[in-house]
Amino acid sequence: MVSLAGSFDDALARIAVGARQELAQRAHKEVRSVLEGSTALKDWGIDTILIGSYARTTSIYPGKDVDVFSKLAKLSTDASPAEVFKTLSEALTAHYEERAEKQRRSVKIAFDDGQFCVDVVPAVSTGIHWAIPNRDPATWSSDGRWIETDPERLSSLTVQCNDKLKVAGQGAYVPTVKLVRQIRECHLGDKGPGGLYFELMTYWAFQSGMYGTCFAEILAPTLRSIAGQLSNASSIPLIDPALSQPFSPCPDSGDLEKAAEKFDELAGMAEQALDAEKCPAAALWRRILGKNGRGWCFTLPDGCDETGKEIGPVVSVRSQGSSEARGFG
Amino acid sequence: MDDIGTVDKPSLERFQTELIKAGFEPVNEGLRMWRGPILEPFRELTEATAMLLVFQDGWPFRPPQLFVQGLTSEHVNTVGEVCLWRPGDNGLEWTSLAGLVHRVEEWCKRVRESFGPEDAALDAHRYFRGFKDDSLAVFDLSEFKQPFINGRFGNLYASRQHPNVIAFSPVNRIGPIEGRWYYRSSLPLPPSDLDAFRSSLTSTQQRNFDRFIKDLHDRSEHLLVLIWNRAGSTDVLIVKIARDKGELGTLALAAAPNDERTLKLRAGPDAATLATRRVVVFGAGAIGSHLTLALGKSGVGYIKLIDDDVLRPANFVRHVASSTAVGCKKAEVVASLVKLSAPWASVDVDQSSPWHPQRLANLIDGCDLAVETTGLSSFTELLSIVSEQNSSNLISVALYRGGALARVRRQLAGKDVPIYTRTSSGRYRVIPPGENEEEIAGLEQGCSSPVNNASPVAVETAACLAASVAIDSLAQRYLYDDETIQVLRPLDEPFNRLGYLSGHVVET
Repeated sequence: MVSLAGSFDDALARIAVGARQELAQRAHKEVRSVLEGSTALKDWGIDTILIGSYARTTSIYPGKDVDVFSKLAKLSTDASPAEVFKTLSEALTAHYEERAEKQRRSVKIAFDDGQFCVDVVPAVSTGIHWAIPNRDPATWSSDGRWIETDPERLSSLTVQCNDKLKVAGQGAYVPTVKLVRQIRECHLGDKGPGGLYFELMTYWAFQSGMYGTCFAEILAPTLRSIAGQLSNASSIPLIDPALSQPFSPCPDSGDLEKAAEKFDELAGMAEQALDAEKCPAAALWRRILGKNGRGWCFTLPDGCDETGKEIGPVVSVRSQGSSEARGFG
Repeated sequence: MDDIGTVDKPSLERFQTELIKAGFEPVNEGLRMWRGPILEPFRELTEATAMLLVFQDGWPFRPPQLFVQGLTSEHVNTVGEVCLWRPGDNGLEWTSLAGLVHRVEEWCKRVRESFGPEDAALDAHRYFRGFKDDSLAVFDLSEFKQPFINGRFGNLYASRQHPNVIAFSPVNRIGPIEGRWYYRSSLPLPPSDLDAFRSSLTSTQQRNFDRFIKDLHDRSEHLLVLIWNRAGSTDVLIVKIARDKGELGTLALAAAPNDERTLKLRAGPDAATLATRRVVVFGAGAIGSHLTLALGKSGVGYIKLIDDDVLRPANFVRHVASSTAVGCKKAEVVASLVKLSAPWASVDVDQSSPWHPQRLANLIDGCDLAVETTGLSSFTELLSIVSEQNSSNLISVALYRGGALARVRRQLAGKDVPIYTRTSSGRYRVIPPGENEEEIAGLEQGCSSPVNNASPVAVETAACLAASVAIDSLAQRYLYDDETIQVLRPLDEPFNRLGYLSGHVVET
């Protein structure tokens, strides 16, 4: 088995959000100070945290959306989602004006000329966990008006899982989640299930016992596990490990079926890559990881072309170029 | 085809990964253009915080272009392109980010401490906002009042020679286009626009400039020329200027000097020595025409060309002339071509018969070297005898065996064995005759002998070899032996290998 460690390292660099991670922190800090300037929100005990894939460092390029969780510790699910949302959106709109855009249960704020957005969602306490407004405002006067969630718990589970298995001294789980998210993005695109669903399937793949010393060895069985979870999803629902209850909302069954078929194929390719020589293996991983806005995610190792054939390397052979005299023609 | 053309995708992708790690992101889908944080060494030279890398087809053999805004220096053009490597550089230093950074560090150091002569270039038009590399302004710098004095200025006249070529002169009214020239002893940088052009002038020059601009006629072309010392030489910025509906439009033209000094930069290292040499060439046929042109271009100061034949249509396949010269005397056509390419060369043509020994002696008298290219062995022997009698130097060149062999024989007075004695001496290689089919391509109507089978490549190779031996003799280096045979197509021994056979069969 060839590890192709250099190409996997390149792939992780090519799918990383890069400088946007820092921008996310700065945007969060700014939004926090705006919200804390609101007397009403201050009275409700506002405290904001970065959540979502940015918080868990599982976000991938281009990473345009950052989620900010506005915890209102002094409010419970007795509060009116409409009033809470109105207060939050008014505070943000007053400061950001047209850069703030109301969504169904959150407020989206544009940064960097709209290249980057922060999604601010209000949350009230349930005592153990937190609750956010139901995605459908029509339910805001009924029992199901608040939806339970616990993003902080998922972040801590991510850290724990990442500590268990290492590749080259670094946690393997978070990079594997990124690779899986990229594969999903490339092969499913706008179709469901979404990135978080795949992250949780990766979590369960690791929980069921994962071994390996390189990403090739870890990613192939992860993809096989995901293919299995997708094909069984209609009978065995995916559990959200933070809440210990089925993931909600459940993805469309048709999407699940198509995703299962695609990931079964991808898992087969990954298993084939494990047994292949360097160049054919690289070509397979390249197809599995696909492209993003920076080009192919899995770079070709020296001496390999895109079809998996061996070629004569140029730069690696002539590391310093020619030492011959300059020609004239 | 927006994909970057490369034969080494792994190294391209590896470099682009390094760019991503350094904070660069692609600007377009084809991944040709990348924007990222400015490299540290540039920070003290510009306020810009970002830079642009643009990949060219041909990676890894062509470096990416690098653009930085706000740099004011040599080797940065008006769109901010930083010239880090000379075209054709084969160092491949740009294939790693560390290599690129190292080169940028070197470049920035040179900006602070000045560029060396190896970096020098006289390309002022490229610093001007709005320039065209393929629009040329032709001039002779020696026509300007010399020596140049700081602050001097004057009128000039120009004409359009081709759609993209304007010629100008400060002394001759060569055309309807008017202009002004200004001289400054030095400038920190070439001007980047018309305001900078004006600012670089003295106050008196500026008054002249202002009057000239004020009086510009609508929709007519004019020229502004700025001359100054740069990199130990003289640089020239030529700006074409026109007023259209009150608006001034400018375009910098690429300077294209045609003075002898500039032309001789390409004449090779022996040009200065050859300028005083006099050569007589017998024969302006296929070999003789190429050889004469090569000697002229290399800097020979005087050439006497002996030939009375006329050009036939079929000659042009191997001759230096083209079909427009059919019916003209070969020697006259070659002389005019030499003057076009090597204006320093003085060329005389003699079309009288050279077979009378006294006349032959007169023809070679006063020349440093006679070059015989007629291919007539009888004439070679006559010339050899006359040259020996007159203590003159001779070189003879001919192709043999249908162009399979080129032979150059040298007869330096008092040094080399006379050519006419060599065949029977046993010291020199004898070229035996071949079959007729080998020698003869066929018959041509109106031609008094069969057409020789030698190819144009064989002709030019023989001419070049003879020119090399001639220049070696004229420069008094004598690195060639007195006889050199080049095998262009293997025959029987001793001519059975491609390459050169030099010297004698038996050393004495």
